[in-house]
Formats: sequence, structure tokens, C-alpha cells
Amino acid sequence: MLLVSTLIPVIGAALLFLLRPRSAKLRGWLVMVCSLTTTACVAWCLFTPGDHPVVLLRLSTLLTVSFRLDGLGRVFAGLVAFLWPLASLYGLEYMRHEGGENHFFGFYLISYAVTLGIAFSENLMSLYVFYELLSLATLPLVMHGMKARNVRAGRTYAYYCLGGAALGFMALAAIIYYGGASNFTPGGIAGLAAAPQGVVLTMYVLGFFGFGVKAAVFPLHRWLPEAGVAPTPVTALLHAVAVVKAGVFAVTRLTYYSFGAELLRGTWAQTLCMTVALVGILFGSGMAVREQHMKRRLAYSTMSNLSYVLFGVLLMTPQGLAAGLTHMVYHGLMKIALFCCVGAVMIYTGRSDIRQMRGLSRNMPFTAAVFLVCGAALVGVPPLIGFGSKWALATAGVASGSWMGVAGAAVLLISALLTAIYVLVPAISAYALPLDGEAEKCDPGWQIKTALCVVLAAVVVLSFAPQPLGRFLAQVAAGAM
Amino acid sequence: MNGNWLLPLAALLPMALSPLVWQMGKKRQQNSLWGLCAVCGLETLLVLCIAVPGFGGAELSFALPGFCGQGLAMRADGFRSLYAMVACIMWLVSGIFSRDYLAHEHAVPRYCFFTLITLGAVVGMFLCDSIFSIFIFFEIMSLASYPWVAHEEDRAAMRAGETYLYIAVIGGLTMLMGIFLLPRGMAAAPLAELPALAAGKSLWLPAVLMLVGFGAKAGAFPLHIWLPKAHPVAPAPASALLSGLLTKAGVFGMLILSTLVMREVSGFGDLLFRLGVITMLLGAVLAIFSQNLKRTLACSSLSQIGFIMIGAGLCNLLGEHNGLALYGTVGHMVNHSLFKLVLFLCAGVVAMNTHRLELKDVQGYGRNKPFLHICFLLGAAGIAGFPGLSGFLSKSLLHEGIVELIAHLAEHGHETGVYKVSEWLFLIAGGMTLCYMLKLYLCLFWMKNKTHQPEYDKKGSYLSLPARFALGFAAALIPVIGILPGQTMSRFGEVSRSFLQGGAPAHLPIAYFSFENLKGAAISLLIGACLFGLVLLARKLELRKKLNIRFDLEDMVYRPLLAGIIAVGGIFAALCDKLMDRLTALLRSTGGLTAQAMDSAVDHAAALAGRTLFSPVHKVEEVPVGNRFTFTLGTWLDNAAKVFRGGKESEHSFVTRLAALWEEWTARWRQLARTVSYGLVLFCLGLLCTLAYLLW
Repeated sequence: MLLVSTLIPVIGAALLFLLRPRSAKLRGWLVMVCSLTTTACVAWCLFTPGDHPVVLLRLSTLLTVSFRLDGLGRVFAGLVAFLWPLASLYGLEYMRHEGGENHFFGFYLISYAVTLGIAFSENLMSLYVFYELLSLATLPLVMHGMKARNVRAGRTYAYYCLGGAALGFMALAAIIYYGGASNFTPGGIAGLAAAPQGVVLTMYVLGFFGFGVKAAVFPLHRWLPEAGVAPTPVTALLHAVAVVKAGVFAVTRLTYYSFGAELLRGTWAQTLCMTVALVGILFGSGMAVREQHMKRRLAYSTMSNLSYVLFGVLLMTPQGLAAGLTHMVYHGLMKIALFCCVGAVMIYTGRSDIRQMRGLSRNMPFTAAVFLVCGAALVGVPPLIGFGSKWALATAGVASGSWMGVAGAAVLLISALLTAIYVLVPAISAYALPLDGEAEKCDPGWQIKTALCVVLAAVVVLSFAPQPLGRFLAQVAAGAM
Repeated sequence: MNGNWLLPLAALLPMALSPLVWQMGKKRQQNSLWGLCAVCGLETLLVLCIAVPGFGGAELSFALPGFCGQGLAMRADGFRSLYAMVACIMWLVSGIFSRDYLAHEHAVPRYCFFTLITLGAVVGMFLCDSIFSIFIFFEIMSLASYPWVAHEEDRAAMRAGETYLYIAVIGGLTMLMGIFLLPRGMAAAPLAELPALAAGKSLWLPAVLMLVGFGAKAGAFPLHIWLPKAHPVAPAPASALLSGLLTKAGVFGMLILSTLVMREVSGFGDLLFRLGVITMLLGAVLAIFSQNLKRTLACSSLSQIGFIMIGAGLCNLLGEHNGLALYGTVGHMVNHSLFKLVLFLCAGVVAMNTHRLELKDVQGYGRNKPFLHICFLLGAAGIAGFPGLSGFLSKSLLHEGIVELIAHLAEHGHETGVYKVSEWLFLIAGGMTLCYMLKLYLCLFWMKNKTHQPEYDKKGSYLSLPARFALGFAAALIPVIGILPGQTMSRFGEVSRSFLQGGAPAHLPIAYFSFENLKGAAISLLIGACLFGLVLLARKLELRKKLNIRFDLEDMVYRPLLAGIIAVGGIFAALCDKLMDRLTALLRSTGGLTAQAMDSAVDHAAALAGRTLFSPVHKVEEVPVGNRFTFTLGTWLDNAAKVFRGGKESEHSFVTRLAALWEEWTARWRQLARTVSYGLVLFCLGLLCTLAYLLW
């Protein structure tokens, strides 16, 4: 079933490329049917117990590409599968304003399949393969439009991702060489404990930066704001959820399931990576405050929030991992909604600057309301979801007992203040300040509205009933140790 | 989820009804105000249902585990019911008053909406039973009250709102950090268990961080900067609530810290005490020099909060013997809420009829308005501490607390100098209260206005009947409490004892009108009268203009500090942002240079080698036609043909023919090599070779 769910989008993409449907209706049906069936398949896999193992390719006993679904994979697959059809629905309306839909949705569907592949990967080898494929599959999406700036952004994206993958490859090779296996095992691969400490830690750091490129870890973040030139469905889904969370997911796999938290806890490698994450949090929020272009601002915010998740993951305690995963899921929901709002504003009013948000609630009351709620959630205004995850992160940091954890809690608070400035200022100015020009109603159409409504509903439901998800994530985190 | 549903309902009801109230005002703004009053009335009834059993000792409680991850806990014991009740009454009175005040204002529905949200948050906060739950409602309250400050939307209001928001948010975050640093489980624990949980642990850092948060809201020095700016710009009913109740939310937190969390640490009480003394004096001085009606009242709030903080500090310092101080603290909280309600509403009457607030403009407005006169007088005399009104009682108790502390310390052989000075400062600050209140009172009700007096003296209603009733009711409470302390003040203190886990006063019933207390009040009032004389003298000499001191903590310290931090952070961020680019550029340029250097080194080495080691021994002859291969082969063939033909030269030289043939074949070959078929052939050949190799 795992295989089926990764194949359906590929078939859909092939159909799009071969048939090149002219009518928007046909294309819409095709895209939506494909993504919804895939999501249904994934949902079936998630909710039926068991691992659903399947081997795709066996190069040697050490190098196999295979699928197996465990707790962590379920979290990521669930998040992606929930959001993809919504983003596709959004994209169907949005891309009417951009053109080149067949081509776009083809690669969009392929990216879906590849992202699921990352979630389902049974070992680091498969993860690596799909990770590389994801870079390639999303490259045409970034370059969509093929204007000079798109090409430049795409080139930066390719440089960073491929360069990062090279570092990741070194970690992979080291794991296979020293560990004698690359299958993900909770608590880490046993063989690595006997390997020379210095080499293993260095390799971990390399792997962290390599896989962390997609998670926009601190000095390797440049591609993310640049990639904001891509169409909004791409920035919203891929550069706020799928691709970047794949980076975080890969780092989590590397930390807990390959090297093992036991091995890394308290070493210089942990300190180094955490410092990078903390600097990234502050840096991302700071840059977001400086940035005046809405999508770039949100991109920097994404960078900062990814570092939140990494901070949680790098605490190397079950509590920290659970908090990190919670923030991963919550941030995905909030950020996709924010990006979708900004995208809707861009296509319907042509505004893309923060200062032009003033009085927007008169033009687009619905969009402004969603932006306000999700923005407040991102800041962490209780009782909305961002508060719960940030609280969990900070308490996990303090509870970890290390001074880095306490520093992390302080950094989180400062960053929350900066978040309040960079999200709430435009959100509130949309309400509080008068509008320049006509108060013409131009809220988006039903497709964007539906997508936003569903995400908003998820945000609200999780705000008031976080326990089931929280319990599941805590269970996953406890299982990773 | 268990316990009594009334408690969360009390917090949620106003919030849930607020959108409705907003909607009501869409057609006619006045409808929103009606809605506001109705909801406040409803809420008062609801809280009454909670408070009656609370006062009686049958506490209601409620718990919702898992709310926001930590659970929501509420409990309505004596003190909390009392303050929830005070909040409701204040909201009701100011709601009724706002029907007059906001009749011709803009954005009334918005005002009503946020007033109700804040009401829900305040009631919720006072009813909470864990630090975490308090924090949640505290934050909602902080943010929801911002629109009050910025209501006018003019420059001053926006700027005051900005300051308010900054202080609220930074205070909130600092408090959150303090909560994070609390030992595990303490944030969600019932308040009554805090002393046991905190015993034997060093909680200075979290306690001070939380104090910053609560102190910012209460207006404690040095985070008081927002208060004198925010209160004057808000609409008067909102100012009354901001000053009378929202500051008490901060005090509520301070009391929890000083009597529960840091119960065993007398240093914390001392810190609160000293901050209280500074705030008290600072507020009083600012109030004396203020030239604006509402600003004077706002600074007076600062000063009174200082009194209450002294009380909170005393509750901690006195340990088991804190009975009197506790009664005084709680009493002064309630009294101050009431005074500020009355005084700000009186200021509101002035503001809505004259649209002015500067003292020199509103001078003489109160002449021939007996109702306003009496209300203001009750408030002003009450806050100044005239015997017979409520302020006298609570101030006496606080003073008594300081005296007790000095005695207590002297008994144990500790240094008491600081506290003796503080006692005098306390009396002086009490005198200053009289001084600035006298200033306002004389200015409004006795002096004549040079320009606007006829306009002010015009007959006609300056306040509607319901508003008169509300204001009169609030003002009437002041002498009632003042005359019947046994039924009121002592009750307030008594019901609060269980919550603050305080001791009982040594002598019950408390002798409020004892000689000592009356003497203290008399000294204080005398000081006040003298000070007022001095102020008048200073005014005559126009000292203010001559000295022209302006020191604004916000403009001169905080804002530059913040700007500095932001600038440094910005430079750092810009550097970091370019870091990777610069690094790559550096790598590329160094890599390029190295490559170039190596390239030319190889070139030069080769040239050198060519000139020295491998210099050709003899020169290769140029071939006249074709290449070397065809020429050599051709020459041989020509020679062979010559031999074959017996020395005769042939007219077709092989050299030229072979050269032509070579040319032709290379051209064809090139064409062939470009075709796909050739590639395929090569590929097949390769495959065959591999196959052959494998088989072999």
C-alpha cells in the first residue's frame, strides 16, 4: 500500500505530461483525484497498525531502497498527506494567474510522491535517494516562470541542496562503514558505539549540516528566502512544510535512529548543532523583522521556526523530541495558512509589501481574518496552538538540565517577541489602519477559501483539543530513544 | 473536567457575548453600549453566585486538565471572589458611565468588544488557581486592553499604546521565562500548595522574572513608564478600569509571589518593600508637578500602587505576624480601586463636557455642580486619608504594619534604620497625596476660569441620571466603608487570610480609630498642608519654568537602549546573512587563484622542460602535401613503382593520391561519426566485448 500511494501521484503526473489537458476542469479533476486518492491510501496506511514493509530496489545487502512505516514516519506522512490536497486545491485557483499549469502540477504531484518516499524510508540509504530526488523534483517548481530571478533562485537552490546532499552522503557512507547497516533503529545503530568517537561525531555534524540544508540551518539558509520567487503553492507547501520539514525529518532520523541520542548527548557535536539552531532562531526572526517583502519575511520566519524544531530535536530527550515534533506539525499548519493568505493577497490585489497590508481587512475580510488568527497562533498567543508547542519546547529545554536548554528557553521568548512584531504588525495594521484607495471586495474564490477554512479548522481544533495528537507524539518520541 | 461550571462560565460569558455586542453597534453605536451594560450586569449576577459561597467558606472550584498542555484550574475563595466582585462592580459602573461618555465618540462597538474581552480575562484571572492559568488570562487581559489605550487613534494615543504594548509584551515574556524556570509541576500546582513546593528551593531567578511581568502591569518602578502615558489618553471609563483594576492584576501576582512562592525568603519582601517606597514617592512627586487632570490621577495611581507594594512586602517580611499588614494591603487595594473609579469618572465628566484636560483649561468647571463636587470630594478626601473615609483605614493599617516591623526587627536586634526612614517617607507620601488632591480639588471647584467660566456655568444637565446613579453609588461606598470598618474592611481582610495564608491580627476587633492611627493621619495631613503651601510658593516663583527639568525614563533610557539593541542585532544579522555568500566568494576566488597559479606553473615547467631536457635534437621536416603518414607511405610506394617500372617516373604520384584519399576519408568519417547509428554500433560492439569478456 505504501508503494501504491507513492505510485498514484507519479501516474497522475505522467498523465498530465502526456495528455496536456487544455481545460482547467479536467486538469483540476485529475490533480484532485490523484492527490485525494493518495491521501486516502496514506491515511489507510497510517491508521492500520503494522509496518507495511516493501523493498523497491536491492543493490546489495547494505544498500537497499525500501519502505517501512514507523511512528516518526507516520507523523511526517500524516502532515504531508493532510496538507497536499489542500495546497493543490489552492494551487488550482492560484496557478490560473501564473500559467503553465500542466507542467507545474506534474512536478507538484511528483514531489508529493517523493516526499512520501522520504517519510516511508526504511533506511538512510532510501532516505538519501528520495532526498536527492526531492531536490530535483522541486527544482522545476522553483524555476517555474523561468524569469531571470526564478532561474537564479533555482540555481541557488540546486547548489545548496546538492552541496548539502554531498555532506549527507559522507555521513551515510560513515554509518554504513562503521555501523554495518543503515536501517533506522530506535536508539541508534549498534555498531557505531564502538567506532572512533571523534570520527563519528564529525560525521554526525557533517550529516546535520548536509541534511540540515533543506531545514535551512543557520549559515546554509540563503536558498530559502531566495526561493520565495516561486509560485505561492510551492512556497506555501514545499518551502514551509514538505521540503523543509523533510530536512528536519532527516535530521531527526539521523540523530535518533542512526547515531542514537545516547551517543550524542552531552558531546561537542550536540553543543555545536544546538548553538547553530539557537543562532538560527534569533537570526531568522531578526531578519524577518527587517524584511519588507511579505513572502521573504515569512520565509525567514520559517527558517526561525525550523530552528525551533531542531532545537527540540537536538535536546535529545523524549520530551524535547515530542515538543519538536509538535512544533513541526503545528508550524506546518500555521505557516501554510499564512503563506496562502499572502499569496491570495498578491494575486488579487497585487500587493506584496508589508506596508501595503494596511487596511486590507476592508478588501479581503476573510483573508485578513485567517491571517490574524494564524499569525497570533504563530506568535504563541494562548490558547492557540503555537503557544502549546512553544511552551512544550521551552519546558523541555529547561527540564533537560543543560545550560543550553535554559538559554534556548530564553531565546524562544525573545524570538516570540520578534515574531509578534513581524507577524502581528501587518496583521493588525490590516484592521487598525485606514485603507488607501477603494474598499473594493476582492476575497479569493471558493478553492482558496476552502483550503484556508480546512487549515483554520485544524488550527482551532488542535488549539482546544491537543491531547490526542500530543499523546501520540509523546509515544513516538519515547519510542525513538 | 470537573468542578463547578460557573467558574469558567464567568470568564467565558463576556468573551462569548462580545461579538454579539459588537454586532449590535453596527447600526447604532449606542446599542453596543446598552449591550455592554447588560453583559456587565449579567456577569455581576454570575460572579455574585460564585462569590456568595466563596465568602461563606464553601469554595467553588473547577479544573480542566490538559488545557494548553498544563491544565486550567480555578477556585473561588474569599479573596478571589472579592476581587472578581470588585471587578464586576467597576465594570458595571464604568459601563453605565460610558453610555454618557462615549455617546459621541468613534469606534464604540470596538471599545465595547474589547472591554468585555478584558472583563472576561480579568474575572478569569482573579479566579485562577495556578500560576499557569493566571498567566494565560493575564496575557489575554494585557493584549485586549490595548485598544483602550489607542482608542483615540491620534498621535499621543498611538504612541502611548505602543509603549503600553511593548511593556505588556516584554513583561509577559519575562514572566513566561520565570514560569519556565519554576521547578517541574509548580506552574500547574494549586496556589495553596506553592509554599510547600517552594520550601527549601532557591527560586530567586524565577520569582524576580515573574515580578518583572507583574510589576510591569502594576506600574512598579522602573517599569511604570507606560502608566502616566496610557491612562490619560484612554477614554475616562477605560482609564478608571486601567488604573483601578488592571494594576491590581499585577498586585495580585505580586501578592502570590511574596506570600506564597517566596514565603520563606524575607529578602524578596524587602525588595518589594523598597520598590514600593520608590514607586510611592516617585508617583507622588510626578502627581504634584503634573498639569493635566488625568495625568495627575494616573501618577497618583503609581503612588498608591507603591503603598500597596509596601503592604505586599510587609506581608512577606512580617512572617507569621502579618495580620495587620495583610488587612491593610487588601483593604487598600479595594479602596484604591474605588477611589480611582470615582475620580476618573469625575475627570471623565469634565473631559466629555469640555473636551479639555489641562488644568488651566478646566479650572473652575466644577463650580455650582454640587453632585460632581460631592463625588470628587469623597474620592479625593478618601484617597488623602481623612478619618471617616475608607482611605484612612487602610493607610493606618499599612502604617501600623511598618511600625510592627520596626518593633519586630528591633526585638531580634536587627538594623531598623531603613524602615524608620521608610515610615517617615510613608507619612510624607500620604501628605503628598493630600497635596496633589487639594490641587485638583481647588482648581476644579473653587478657582474661576479666566476665559471659559460663563460657558462652564451654563445651566443644563452635564450627566444623565443612570450615570449619576452609578457614580453616586461608587462614591457613597467610600464613607460607608470608612464608617463601618468592622463590617467591611475587617471582613475583606478576614476572607483573604486563607488565600494569602496569613496570620490573624493580634487584637481583634481592630481599633481603627485609635489615638495612634488618628495621630498618624493628622501628621500626614499636616505635612500635606505644608507641602501644598510650598507648592503654591513654588508656583508663585515660577520655579517650574526656571528649572525646566525634563527627564523621561522612556525617551532617555529605554527607547535608546532598545534602538541600540536592534541596531546591533541588525548589523549582526546583516553580517550573518552575507556570511555564506562571502565564504563562497572567498572560496571561489582562492580556488580560482590556486588553479590559475598551478596552471601557469605547469605551463612554465613544461616550457622550461621543452627548452632544456626535451629540446629537439633535429628539426622535423615539414611535409609538402598530406600528412606524415601519407607522405611516407606515398614516397615508399613511388620508389617501389620507380623500381618496378625501371627507373621511369610515373605521372600519378602516390604521394598526392594518398593525400587526397586521406582528406576524403576523414571528411566522410567525420560525417559518419556524427550519426546515431554509429553510436549504436559502437554501443553494440561494447556490449559484445563485455559479453565476450564475461563468457570468456
